[in-house]
Amino acid sequence: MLKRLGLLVIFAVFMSGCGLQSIPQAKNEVDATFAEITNQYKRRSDLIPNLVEVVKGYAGHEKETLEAVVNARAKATSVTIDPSNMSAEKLAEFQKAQGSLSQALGRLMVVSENYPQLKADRNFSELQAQLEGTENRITVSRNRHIEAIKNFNNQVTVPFTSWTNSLIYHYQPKPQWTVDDSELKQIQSAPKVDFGSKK
Amino acid sequence: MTSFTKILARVFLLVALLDAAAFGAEFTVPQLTSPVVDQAGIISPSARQQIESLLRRVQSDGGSQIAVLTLPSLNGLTIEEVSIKVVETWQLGSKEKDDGVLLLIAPSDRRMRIEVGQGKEGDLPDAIARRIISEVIGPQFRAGRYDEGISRGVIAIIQKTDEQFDLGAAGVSRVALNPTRSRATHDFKILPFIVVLVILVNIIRHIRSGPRTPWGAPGGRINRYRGGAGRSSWGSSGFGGRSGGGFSGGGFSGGGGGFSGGGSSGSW
Repeated sequence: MLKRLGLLVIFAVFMSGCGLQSIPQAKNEVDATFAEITNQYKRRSDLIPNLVEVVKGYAGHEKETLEAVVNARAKATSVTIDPSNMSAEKLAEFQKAQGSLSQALGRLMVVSENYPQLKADRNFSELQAQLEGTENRITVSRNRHIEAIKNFNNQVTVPFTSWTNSLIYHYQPKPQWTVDDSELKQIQSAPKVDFGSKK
Repeated sequence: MTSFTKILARVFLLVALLDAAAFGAEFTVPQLTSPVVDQAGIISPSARQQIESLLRRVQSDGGSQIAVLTLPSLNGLTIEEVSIKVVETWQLGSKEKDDGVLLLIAPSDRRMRIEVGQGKEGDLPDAIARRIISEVIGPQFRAGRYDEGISRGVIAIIQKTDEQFDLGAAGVSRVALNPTRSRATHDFKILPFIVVLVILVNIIRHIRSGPRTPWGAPGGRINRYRGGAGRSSWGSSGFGGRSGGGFSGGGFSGGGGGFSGGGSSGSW
């Protein structure tokens, strides 16, 4: 009896180290971190109507820039993605849509620099702060997602956990969240506004 | 067998080296030794002591875990990158409430950031954090008054994250933060009504159920509240300390609070 119990314990310890638990956990982490990204993109998308309204009030004739933001937002919200069935192409499309929204917003922020009254508007400055915060949250959630994918892919490709995967789970490595050069530029030009300094 | 252990040892060594390469590359997070970690050396000892005791007091009253960090350099990273690394390591705030806040200052880059824990993003939204930076701390820093700027900034943060904390009893005067239209004044007016209502309800209960039942007795309430605030469920898992991460015997450590990048940055 005692011997059996001991064997069971050894078996349990062995199993806990071989990925039986850690592989599904890693997968859940990937899903959760991705949900956080979409959550933050949604938050950004929700800020945009108010932002556009405020800018319109002071800089209504910047029609082109404003329309670009509205259109990019519409496009970005239309591209949704199913995290459980994520192909590399679908992911690229999703990233591209969000990337062009980042770019359009960046231009809007640059344009708004030319309107001192707009910049002095408290509503605008608060929306700007929220937008900046949201962009930062997006960055943080992306980094965490990338880290989670890396961990998951390690679990399913690196022994000994990969053996468990090929025996039991049969998961494929997930497409890594890549940032290509053009998108990198967009991200860097995303609204980064210095608030404390006088310009 | 011996060759196998040798290989295993090599594998471990390799993993350790790779880990070191991955983490040691850019920026090492300083150790959280007290609520104020002044690596840049810009805070005077007396101001530091005052800020520290205030922050410890807020936390021991069941409030947020707030910390101040000054850095001599950002090592070429942005303040947001450094800030999220610091809070991921320090884990300010309790695990249940995620109520940590970090005020990070890099004098050489003239940059600062208020990083707000997930649980406090509602009380201290980005827009307010931004205003604390530009209206409370910024002007003091521009005049070279670091002590004053940090003290006032910390008080302003507490005013938002821990409304119930009695600053007057801690010997600190409030900082003027222009209220954002409506909400702040609204809260201010409604609070007394709530207090009166709660007292009335308690009195009625007390009268109805008699003084001896635990439900109506004030003592029962207070005890229950304490039970909630001093939760030690995770404390037993090895970290030790009180709900907010805590500081037993002068030490100071985070309590597992989560951050998602909320807050605001600014220059001066």
